Amino acid sequence: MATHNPTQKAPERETFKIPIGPQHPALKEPGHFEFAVDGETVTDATVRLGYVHRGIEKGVESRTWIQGQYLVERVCGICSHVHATTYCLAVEKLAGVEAPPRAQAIRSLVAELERIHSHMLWLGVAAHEAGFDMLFMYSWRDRETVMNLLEGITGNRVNYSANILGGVKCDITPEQDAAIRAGVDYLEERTRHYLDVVQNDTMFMRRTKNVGTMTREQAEQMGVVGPTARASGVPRDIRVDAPYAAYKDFPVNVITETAGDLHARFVVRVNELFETFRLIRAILDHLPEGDLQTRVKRKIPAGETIMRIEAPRGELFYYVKSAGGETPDRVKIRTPTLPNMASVLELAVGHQLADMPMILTGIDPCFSCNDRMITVRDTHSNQRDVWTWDQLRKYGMNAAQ
Amino acid sequence: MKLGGMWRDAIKALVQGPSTQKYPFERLKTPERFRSKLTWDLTNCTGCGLCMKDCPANAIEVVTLDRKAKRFVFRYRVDHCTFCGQCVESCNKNCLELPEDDWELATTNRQDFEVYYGNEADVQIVLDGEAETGA
Amino acid sequence: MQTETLEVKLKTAAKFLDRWAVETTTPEPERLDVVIDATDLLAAVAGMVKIQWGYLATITGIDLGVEDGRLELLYHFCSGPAVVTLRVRIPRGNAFIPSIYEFIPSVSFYERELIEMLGITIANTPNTDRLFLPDDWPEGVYPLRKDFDINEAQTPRNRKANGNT
Ligand code: SF4
Ligand code: SF4
Repeated sequence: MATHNPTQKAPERETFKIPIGPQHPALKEPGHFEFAVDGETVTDATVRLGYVHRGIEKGVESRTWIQGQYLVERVCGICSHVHATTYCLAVEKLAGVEAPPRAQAIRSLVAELERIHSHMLWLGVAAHEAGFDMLFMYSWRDRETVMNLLEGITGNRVNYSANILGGVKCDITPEQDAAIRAGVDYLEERTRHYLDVVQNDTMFMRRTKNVGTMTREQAEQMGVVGPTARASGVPRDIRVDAPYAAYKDFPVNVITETAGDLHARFVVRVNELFETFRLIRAILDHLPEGDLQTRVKRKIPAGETIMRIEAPRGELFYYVKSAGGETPDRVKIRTPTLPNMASVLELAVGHQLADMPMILTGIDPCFSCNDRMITVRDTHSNQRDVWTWDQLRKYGMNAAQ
Repeated sequence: MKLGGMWRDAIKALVQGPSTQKYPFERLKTPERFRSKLTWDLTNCTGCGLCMKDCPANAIEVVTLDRKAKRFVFRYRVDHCTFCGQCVESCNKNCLELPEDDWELATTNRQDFEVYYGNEADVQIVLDGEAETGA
Repeated sequence: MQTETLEVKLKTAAKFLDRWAVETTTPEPERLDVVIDATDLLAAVAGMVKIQWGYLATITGIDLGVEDGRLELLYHFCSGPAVVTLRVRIPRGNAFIPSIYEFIPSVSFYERELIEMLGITIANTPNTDRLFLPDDWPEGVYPLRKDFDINEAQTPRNRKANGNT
């Protein structure tokens, strides 16, 4: 399909290694990928992470339980609230207390607003990678609506710090209630428009249909989580499987698709937005009255627990162990991107190099792998041909036409 | 290439003008709950030090000169602060507040980030003491 | 209904893993912890994959401390609300465990993490490259061990930045 591209002479029986990354000044979380290619086809893929490794798991061990919450909240800038929530729920479980119902409902409410912000951000970035910058610009403009709502409720656009051990810090006032409803109405209308674009734009369909397909069996086996799994028809959603916070009282409908390709991952996420809008309204309609916080002792009894919650990208897994003191003994964090990335790298084999940017973006990898320098290296003669991510992106777009 | 229904968006946006503000000529009003530079009120402080203990960023130091006479000095490092609000929650005497309007904190002088709250004379004592130990 | 399936799920796993179990506990209603010998790990994991009991969520590595002298590996399998954890304890001094890559290919990341963070030798894992730690991180320094000393971890670059060469 793309053999007419002059930069890529496909020599016989020679493997090219194509390293991508790691540096990029504008986006978070760099990662370094290495694809071995045979002509156009990817034959092997590995990744090297850790360019933003901050030793948070170790760092938590030397902080108090209270301080730990703010550290884990900074694991991710986009889904910070879910980290703090998981941590708080786990510690509360260990301490044998439960946050009041109103606090749990507000936790879920903020989590759902965060899901909107995360999915819209992803929609924009994915559109950008597909060469559809118009969708990128407008979806990001609309995303400001939800950012402003979050700022109004919690006091910050990111790292909201809405949680506190034993509850939440912020209440929902009647004015905020109205503001959220208005914002959600606007976003719902916009999302309907975006769904239409995603499903009907020819160029977009060409870039996403039948690309990076993952069958249901593969998804089940490899432990894929979140929208990536649901796009392959696996109804895996912790909010339903093991309801936490307020999801017991506000049941979620799992959105799935069966195609398992990139396009399905788009559709699942956009459809999930509608479910999220519905949930937000339901929570606002039936927000329980009562306190916002219960007391949690500074010393947490010895023990260990596992807490899993559904982050925008999938299942977030926390293992927390206490030795009975004022500091945690071990906190293990498994973010959803890790299993998704592992399986996507397995999937990459056999695909065209041009599809890589889209396949990687398809799992919403915290955007760790965009827009950087790419070196196309001939392993035999050591000739270097430096590409930018932009070139690869354009290369991908040309190949698609 | 079909652009879907996005033409309408583009035309609308053309008429509408930019969505951004011309800072610093136009300022957005920050929401009431926005957290900016911390303030401390001596009146009720007992010097318990809980705020200092719970601060995840080590931004707070409560220096006790005389507990009985309630002579405390509150040293606050704006550049360490993450504006998380934990200290406000930890203090059960309501001495601390994170107002919403003091957010333009950029400066070219590092010293500006070190803020002392308290009785003027006491602050001077702390500053002098620090100068001594620092030398 | 959901609790029923949860119970059934846990029972199936408990019955299946019984032949290798040294100790079985239920620390929380939705959890099942099974302590097994390191030598039985491969058989147990292969079995879990074969009966298609959930998916491997992650592997947690814990250092039980210098006095205890052991490391503990927790293989968490999740299926719906149920979490089954295979607990394997290995000596700190001779930390060795076979790889389960053969049965679960997506495990590579977790194994690479264990190698660099806790200094565990994993046999037959395809990729032993660093995953998270920097390239110039000193050999033999494992951050998640309890006797980890931050001074040992000074990479040449760090040292230069801190001005203490
Ligand atoms: S807001 Fe947070 S970081 Fe800032 S002083 Fe208070 S506790 Fe410390
Ligand atoms: S927590 Fe409140 S009373 Fe205690 S030292 Fe801090 S400001 Fe003073």
